[in-house]
This record gives sequence, structure tokens and C-alpha cells, in this order.
Amino acid sequence: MPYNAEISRANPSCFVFLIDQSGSMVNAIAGSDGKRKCDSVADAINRLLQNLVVKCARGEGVRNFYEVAVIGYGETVSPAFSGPLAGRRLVPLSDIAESPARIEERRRVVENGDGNRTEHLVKFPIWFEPSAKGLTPMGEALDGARTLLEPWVSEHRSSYPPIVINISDGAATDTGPEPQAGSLRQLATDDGEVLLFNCHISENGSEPVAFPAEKKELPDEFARTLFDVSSPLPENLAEQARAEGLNLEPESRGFAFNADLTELIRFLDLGTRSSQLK
Amino acid sequence: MEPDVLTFGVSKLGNSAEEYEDAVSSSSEGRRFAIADGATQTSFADRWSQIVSLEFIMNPPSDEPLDKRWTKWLLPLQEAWSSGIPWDTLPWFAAEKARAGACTTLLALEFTPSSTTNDGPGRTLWRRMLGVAKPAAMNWRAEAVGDSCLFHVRDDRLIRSFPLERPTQFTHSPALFTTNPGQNALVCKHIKTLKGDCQPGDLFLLMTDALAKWFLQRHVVGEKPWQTLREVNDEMMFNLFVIQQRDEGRIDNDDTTLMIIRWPEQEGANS
Repeated sequence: MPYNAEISRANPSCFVFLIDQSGSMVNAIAGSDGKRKCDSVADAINRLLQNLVVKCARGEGVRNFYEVAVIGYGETVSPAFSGPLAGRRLVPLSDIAESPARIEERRRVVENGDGNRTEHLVKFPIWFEPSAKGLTPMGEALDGARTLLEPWVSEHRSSYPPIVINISDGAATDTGPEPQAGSLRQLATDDGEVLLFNCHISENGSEPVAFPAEKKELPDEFARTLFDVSSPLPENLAEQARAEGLNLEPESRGFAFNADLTELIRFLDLGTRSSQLK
Repeated sequence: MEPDVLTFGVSKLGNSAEEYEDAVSSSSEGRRFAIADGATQTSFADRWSQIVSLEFIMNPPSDEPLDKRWTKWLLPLQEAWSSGIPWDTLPWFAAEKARAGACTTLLALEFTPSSTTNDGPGRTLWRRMLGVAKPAAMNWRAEAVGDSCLFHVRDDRLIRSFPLERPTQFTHSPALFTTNPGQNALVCKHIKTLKGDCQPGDLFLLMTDALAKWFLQRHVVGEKPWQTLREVNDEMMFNLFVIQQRDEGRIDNDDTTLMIIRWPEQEGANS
């Protein structure tokens, strides 16, 4: 199947983020000056939602090219938007644009056209708050994604298939992730099967592995399991990544292990890019 | 001598007519023509493509070295674009998108009266005496940034294709003029220029990328796509043609724009 459907308002696509909110997420992420993993992930998700909204903004509005769900798993498995969107599952992008829980101002260094850098105060909307409590019911979260997407794919047969991005810092504490990931990846539109990308974030500073093509270089069984359940990158996404200097093999998978914050944002950014966006 | 000029445009399927982002402009005396394709990934691109194409007609860049003339020419246009954006009332996402700027292609074409021919006066005199050369009525110069194209047809043959010559040359990331000062310097160094002569009866077709790609795809398989396009004489006919080609998967779903410039035949031009 080709993964080349045009993404438009009449033919939208969909993102589901599964976020590990287990107790261990309070520990510091590698390479982040002691920042907690749950805070880093929240920043990355909020940044990504902001990028997605801005990417789809035209004139004074936002075009609904995507629906988005954020599901947390830890003490419970449940929708994880905060503020006006709390409790909602799949949310059209224009609702996300108009309903952040709050908008912070943060400092951002911006490259000028002349090669200099200047610091600006920028709006930083918050839709998702950090949380770290309980175990790691990854299997239940993947099942939740399947329940959410089963009707979606049958109602959007001609759409670019949904992309599920699972971010975790450890092994599942239930029966997951293999059987549930397998069922999820069997869902499909006419343009391709649901894509499942997995991202492991780390508290040790060893060299990250991003988009590997084989599992023999991965350090342990947990990493190899996550590799096994990750989708190969569709060729058009891989091509874009290569154009930006990433060294990808034809069989590269949507998987990152031991990712630090920079790697996490790069991983998410690649996962949400599409030349099919119109 | 003035040409007959027709322009047609159809929005991308799924978009409203207000969301059409291509622009075409022509001077009243029929000497300057421009077609521009506002990049759909950017915001307020319709406004930018209109400003750029119209300004080429009203006030084309002065004769300076190629890279400088366009950079300088764009500066007041960038200010005009920005001053038309309702910054104070834009929601946060729309303001951030607009700050990233808008982008457009430009294909600019200008005709000037010919004093000599491109063959040189002596050689052409002999060719005229032999009855194989028409007098050149006009010279033309085209400049292009991006993938909006010009096709020059004479005696039922395509004699120039500019700036792209093959359907495989269309990409997702053509060069574009942007509204951000400082980001055009590199683009302006890569503006393409082509000059030629124009004879009575010549046909010039300007089009944005979806139609230009279709045109070159038909041409490489031996067809004469200008024969189809020059039959188009009203908006409804053009709409039907584009819809049919889209349905058959021959034209990409995009804003689609065509300008036909037809120079009249002259009595006795072949003598």
C-alpha cells in the first residue's frame, strides 16, 4: 500500500499519542540538566501540537487536516488533554488551536536571515500537563488506540492512515505490547495500515539509536521488542528525512531508543511531517 | 500590434474560490504579463502572489544586475504585504504562521519592439529573400523563480519551454520569493532568464505548475497540448477541461491557472 493519499479537509488524517505517565517518569531525562522525563515529554508534546496547529494555519483560521488524541497511561489509561479539552478523545485540529488550557510565554532563540541570533518571547500554549504515577499499562494503552481508531479507519477509507506515536521510559507491566500492537497495526485505510512509532526515552546518557533498520545493535530485550512492533517508515517519510541529512536504510523503522530531548523532538517532528499535506 | 489575451483559473478541488492563491496580471497595452503561484503551505499567500504579479506589470524592476534588481524590487512589496495583515486581531497560531511569511513563484514576461532580429540583419535578409524567415515583430524576455512555466508555440511546434523543460523537473520544493527580507538573497541569485523573438501568429502560454506539468507530460508522449488549450475560450470550458483531467488523474489537484497570449497573423508576413 502506497501511503500517498492527499491530506486535506475532505480527506483528513489522524494522530494518536500514547504517553507513559508511570511513576518512573519523575526521573531526569538524559542530557536535560536534571529535567524530569515527564516534564520533557510534556514540553515535546505541547511543542509538537503547536507546530501542527501552525503548520495547518491559513489566513485567520486553522484547516482541519488532522484529528488528534493524546492518551496517558500510568495509574489509569485515559484521555490526557487538560483545560477545555479534558476528557475528549479525537479532537479536530481547529478545536485544539482554539482551546489550549493556557498560553505561557517562553524565551526562544531565533536565527535571523543575516546569520545572527536573537532571543524572542514566544507564545507557548499548554494542552498537556506532566504526570507520573502508577505502573506502565502499555498493552491497555495500545488497545485503547485500537478501540479509538477502528471506527475512524472505516469512516475514512481514502485517508492517509493514522499515525500512533508511543512514548515510554520502560517495559510494559501488563501483557503488552506485542499482541495489542499487532492488532492495532492490522487496522488500515485503503492507503495503508496504521503506523505505530515507538520512542523510548532514557535516563542514562548512552548513545541514542534512531530509526534503525535491524535490531542486532539494540542493547536489550525491551528495545528489541519495541523495534519488532514498530512500523517501517513509509518511503515518502524516509525520503524527507534523508533530504534533511538523516541516514536511513530502506528498512528503517519508526523507532528510537535511549532518545534524549533533542532526539525526541526530532523523532516527533519527522513522524508528523507529510508531503501529502495540502 | 496587440495580442489577444485570455486568462482562466480554477481552485483546487475542496477549496473555495476565496482560497484560490494563483494570480495573473497583464498590462493594458499588451506588453507585460505575469503569473504567480502562492505557496499553499504558507499563510496569506494569495495576497503575496497578487502583489508580486501586479507590481511586475505596474512597476517592473529596473535594469540592474540580475540578483540586485529583484532583491531591491521586492523590499517595498514585502512591506506592502505585511501592512495588509491584521496583526492585532490574529489569534496566536495565525500570527505565528504569518510571521513565518508567505511564498510565491513568479513568471514574468515582457515584449519589446524589435529593432534587429536574433539572427543578425545580414543573415536574415538572405533568409527573407529566400522566403524562409518572417520579420521579427517583437523581442521578449522572460524571468522566472519557481515552477510556473511559459511555453512558446510557433507554426504548431513548441519552440521554447521555460524554465522547466521536462515533467520530471517538478518537485515539492521549487524556489520561491518570500515576504521575509533577507530570505530572498539566495533565490534571487538563481532567477532564470530567457530571451527570444516573437513573430506574427505566435502563441504564448503561461501556466502554474499543475497545468504546466500536464502540458509537458502530454508533449513528451508526442501530443500537441497547445491545440487543446488554444480552443479554450471561456471560463466554463476551462473548468470542465480541468475537472475532467483531474478525474482521469492527469492533472494534480491544485489551483490551476492559464494565460493565453495570441499574437495576430499579419497579412503578407511570409512574403
